[in-house]
Amino acid sequence: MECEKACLLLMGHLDGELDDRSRLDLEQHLEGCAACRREESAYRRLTAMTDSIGFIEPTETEWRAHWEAIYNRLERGVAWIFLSLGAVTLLLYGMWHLAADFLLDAAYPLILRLGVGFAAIGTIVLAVSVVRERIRLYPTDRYEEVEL
Amino acid sequence: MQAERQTILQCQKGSRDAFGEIVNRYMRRAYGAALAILGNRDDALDVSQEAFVKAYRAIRRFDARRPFYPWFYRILRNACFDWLRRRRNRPRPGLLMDIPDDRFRPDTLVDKDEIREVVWEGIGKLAEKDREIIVLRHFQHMSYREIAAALDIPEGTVMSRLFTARKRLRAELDGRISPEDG
Ligand SMILES: [Zn+2]
Repeated sequence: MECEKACLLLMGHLDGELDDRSRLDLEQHLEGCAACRREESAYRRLTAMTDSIGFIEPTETEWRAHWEAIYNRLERGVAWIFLSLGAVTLLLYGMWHLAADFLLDAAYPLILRLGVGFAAIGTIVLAVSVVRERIRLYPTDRYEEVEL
Repeated sequence: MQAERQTILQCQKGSRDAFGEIVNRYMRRAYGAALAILGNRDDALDVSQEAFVKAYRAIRRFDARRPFYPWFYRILRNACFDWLRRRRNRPRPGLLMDIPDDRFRPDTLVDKDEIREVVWEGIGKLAEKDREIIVLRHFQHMSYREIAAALDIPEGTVMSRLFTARKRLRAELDGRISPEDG
């Protein structure tokens, strides 16, 4: 066995993932190769050091807040859809009245009526696009590929 | 496993309480993975929250006969890598201002000693893909088979990917930890 192959198998050996055959081959190589034995002890130390790292856990209070934050976000997803739908409905209603009472009223200068009219159309297009995005994002999202 | 399947089926019918059980079961593990990929406690909590929200929204497409965590992990890792990408692309307030990096600092570690701090910092310096496989093996304690499933790679390449990652980690630590340490 070449040293390069031995070093690779060393990983499986340290992780307890080698089959018997590979393990015996590796052990045989290690017996006769001081360089690979040095590699073995270096990687053994490295994995032991990595394994010894432990993280401070959040407190119970923080975990509760964690779940509450998740729960709130789940609920808000639905809330946003209703809110946006409501906003669009009100905007359409407002626009209807604007058209009737203001835009067609010759008492106001034409330029002002045009300006207000275009701004109203822009607002509605924006609102509709927000609603469309919300509805598209809610039941699905872009993690289609996560099926294993 | 059978009990979890029942809980998942309830989630798929829209039960948020059932999803609460799932979150409660996996939030610690999810946090550990996110922390080791992102290197910062608050970010890890935020991003794992985001991942659970995404998982809930996608839960109807999950096959309840399968174990939840490997599926969830794919969502979590995407959320982590998205977050890192956004962070990289974020404009810096000023080029001359040297902002201290708040990632992979010793304050997240239980035991703060020089060796662990240097190793943790070294893990932080690895490329994302190298870091991830170290995380799966050493912090998530996954077998090669589970790692292959989580990363969607053939089981046969797990060993060589780990070898590359460990070689690079060793190079990061080179000269900072003497061979007698540990
Ligand atoms: Zn050798």
